[in-house]
Amino acid sequence: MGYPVEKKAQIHSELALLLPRLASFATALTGHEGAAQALLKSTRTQALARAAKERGHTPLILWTLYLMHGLWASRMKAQSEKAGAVEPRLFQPRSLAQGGHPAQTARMAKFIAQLPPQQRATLHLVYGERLSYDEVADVFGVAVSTVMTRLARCHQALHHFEDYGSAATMPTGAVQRPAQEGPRGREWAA
Amino acid sequence: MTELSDELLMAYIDGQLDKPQASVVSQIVKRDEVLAARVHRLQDSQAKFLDLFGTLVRDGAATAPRPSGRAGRAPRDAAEASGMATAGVAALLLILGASLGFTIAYYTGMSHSLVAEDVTMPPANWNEDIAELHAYFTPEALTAARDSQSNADVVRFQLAKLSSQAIGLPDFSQSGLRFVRAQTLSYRGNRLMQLVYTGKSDPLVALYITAGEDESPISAGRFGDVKTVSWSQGGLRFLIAADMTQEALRALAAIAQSQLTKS
Repeated sequence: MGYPVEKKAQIHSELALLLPRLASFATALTGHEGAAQALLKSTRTQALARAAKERGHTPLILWTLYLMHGLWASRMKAQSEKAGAVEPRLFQPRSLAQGGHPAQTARMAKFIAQLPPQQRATLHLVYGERLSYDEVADVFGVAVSTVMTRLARCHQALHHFEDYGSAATMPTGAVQRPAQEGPRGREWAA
Repeated sequence: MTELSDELLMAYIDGQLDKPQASVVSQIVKRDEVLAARVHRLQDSQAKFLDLFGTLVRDGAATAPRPSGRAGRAPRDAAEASGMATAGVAALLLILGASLGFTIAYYTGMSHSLVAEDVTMPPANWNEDIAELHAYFTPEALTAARDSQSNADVVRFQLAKLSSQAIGLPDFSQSGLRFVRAQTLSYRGNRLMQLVYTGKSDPLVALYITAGEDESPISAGRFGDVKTVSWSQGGLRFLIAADMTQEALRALAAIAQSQLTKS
């Protein structure tokens, strides 16, 4: 399969500019420096091999975020890679920690590290990358409502964390919600 | 006190609602102290998330891990390859996979919705396509519902994405059907909303909505036992599918048309 060398070179250079953003997303997904590095490497390799053929008119950043999430999800599904312990320090920006509120920053980082990866990654795309809900839904391949639910749960979890102060009292990944009409099902995508 | 879900309030403070919706929420919040306090609290946590994740992204260039080794030299991961191949197959099997709702979206969302920028008209076999989709949709599939799928606020938000005008959630309670949940699917690259209703003894009834032509009369279709009626109004295409008689479906269509006209 031959694609013009110049097109591949252009993707290569565009991708190089996106690497820091992709690295941040890899960190949000994995919460682990080693795993993030491996995921970033796989994503770059796959993107270089496939972008020219597969991404169509999709902006490269959105396509590579989608690609990275797919790679991460397939690894998690196949359990071919054991998730390492989440490292809170990765969510503690140096510039904030040095800005006079190190304890507050460390506490927030601890909270973020405790979130399920999908919720953490959703926060990253909405509040870090400033993508629209629609774009985030496309990156994850889920409905917009799933994005909204994840966000609402993140906010509720933070409120709970702030009110009760202890990670041990925070239910895994979400706070208790009042029972609603309609069936409840598995939550893997949320 | 007005009941608005956290999901809707989040969309409001994140600037994700369209202008008319945001205006309505704004008016309600101004009149309701409890809601105003909730919005204030959400804005507070929003500011914290913006601060943290914004800084993480900005700092990314300095602190992010970088891939070691040269591009293209990483060993190909079999799991990755098979995972992405699955995505390709899933795109081809879109209609079949639709019975699992979010599963299809998981594998095909990007390839359809990000690439397709212009709304294209559903093809002439819209009735048969959706009837076939509906035939694979079973009561068991309903167990996969999440909170948001039955949240009327979120459903209205999703409906508003289909059209510039506000669309109400059709109410078939006079026909003994209650709304269960909604989900967004992808049909030939277009956003397709599926609203599911059930009755005590009736089979699953689903109203499908997608962007389409301005006006067209009711037409019928079927796939096996599943019958459909479809029509267009206000720039949207509607289709009701169920294992029911055409007369019963037409009665539901008349109810929906009348409610949609009022909204």
